[in-house]
Amino acid sequence: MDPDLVLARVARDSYGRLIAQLVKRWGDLGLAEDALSEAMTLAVSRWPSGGVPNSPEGWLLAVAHRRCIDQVRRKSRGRELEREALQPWAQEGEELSSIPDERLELMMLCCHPALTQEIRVPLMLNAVWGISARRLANGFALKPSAMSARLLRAKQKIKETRLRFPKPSPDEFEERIGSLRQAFYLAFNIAAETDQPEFSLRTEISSLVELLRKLQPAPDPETLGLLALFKFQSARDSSRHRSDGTMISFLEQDMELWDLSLIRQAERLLTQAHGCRILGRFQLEAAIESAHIKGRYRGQPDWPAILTLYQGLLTTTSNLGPRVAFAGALLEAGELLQAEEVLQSLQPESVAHYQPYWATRAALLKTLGHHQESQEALARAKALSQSPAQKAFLEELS
Amino acid sequence: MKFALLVYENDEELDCRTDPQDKDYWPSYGLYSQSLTEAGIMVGGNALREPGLATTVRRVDQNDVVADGPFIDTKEKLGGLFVIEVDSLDDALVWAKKCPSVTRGRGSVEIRPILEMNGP
Repeated sequence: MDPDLVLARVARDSYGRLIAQLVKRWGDLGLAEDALSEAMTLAVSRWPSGGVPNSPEGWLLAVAHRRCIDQVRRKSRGRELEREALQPWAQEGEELSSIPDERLELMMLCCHPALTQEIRVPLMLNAVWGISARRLANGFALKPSAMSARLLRAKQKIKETRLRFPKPSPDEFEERIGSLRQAFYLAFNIAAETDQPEFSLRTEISSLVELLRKLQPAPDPETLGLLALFKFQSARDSSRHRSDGTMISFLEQDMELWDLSLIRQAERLLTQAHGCRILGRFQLEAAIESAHIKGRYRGQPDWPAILTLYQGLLTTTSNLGPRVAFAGALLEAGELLQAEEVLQSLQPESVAHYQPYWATRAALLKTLGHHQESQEALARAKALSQSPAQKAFLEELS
Repeated sequence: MKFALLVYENDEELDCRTDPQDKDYWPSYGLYSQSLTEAGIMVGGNALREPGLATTVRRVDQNDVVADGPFIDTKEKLGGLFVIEVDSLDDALVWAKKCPSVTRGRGSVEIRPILEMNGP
């Protein structure tokens, strides 16, 4: 086994699972992250010579746990630690399958009502998937320094007020489910923007939503809608990029590469969601995705239907993303003036660091024949773009 | 750990203290206080007299300036506080939600951890 490959796999697949166990034991997210990071650093130097342990996760957890003990001892200035904390890690050397998967509980902790609404989603993404403050800052249209400070403050509050690692009770699920869905949605979009040949992050997000769906006592139309949306998007994964890694726009994607079975699953989920007769944001987004895909198969997009769905969508959310996407749809439908109106209605300070806004604005200005201004908007979009594929895609627009 | 439950009340609620028609105000706090004691979490606390009796002092340009009234005029005023000892903010929240200023719908409770001088 190649130690680097194993470590990369563990960091990708098991990070949140290990963090959850450490937070449950220590009640301190910052401490847990530092300890796991130190354990991974130690693995980098130890594994190549000493060999990869039988259970890499068990090894990392045991080392991280000891780091936590050391840290807390140092800070407690000689005071006695609770006996329980000093017990060796029960799972040491055990297989990953025997380490409980409590990522959902970790996410619910991050969605605690005592934490400000704006930080819950980034905190979850940071805690569960280890997504850095810098990448989160871009996804949430904030400066990296502001994002780091907010994450730190939330972690401080969890620690200093001893927020409890939640036990999944129906009440808690109900209360925090909206925040959870929002987190899944944004994480999925961020994962789509990161230019990687594998989509393991998206697979993991989808499987967590599947888990959420199983844990919810009754069919929840918005969870079903969200899952449908993810499946519609995953169905087109292999058609999104050329062999050189550049992005392909929706209308140019090769339908032969689309995963029909995923599309059918998504349609079934959407039908089931509509059966609940409570409309919501994620169902509408999934319906828009469905309408776009049907339009491709028909050879003719149904713009009136798509724009109506967008108008419904905008009544369910005040977020920036759907508004910018609506402007993009209007542009493609040839409603240039309306597209311009939507973009102009957005607050300048809220869009300053939001990449899709600048890309859409550039496309609109180009269509309107304002080439100079279009180039300027494009330059801003490129500066805000993180992935090489996205940069190359924007290059094509110029 | 110890938390202070800072009880905020709007003017209407503060008037209830002296309203002979309101037979509920003082008993509700009596019961609340009793339930904290029975749960074994009560550390202390006090009700404050009306904000109209407040006096504020601050140092301005080397002088101690004394003024009549609370230092900021807000919609809700501090009416009193409880100090409780529980394990977590989660528990403090459960108790804060039962406080009459919340249940009567004319105020709020701010929960603040107490600074422990021998280190957190």
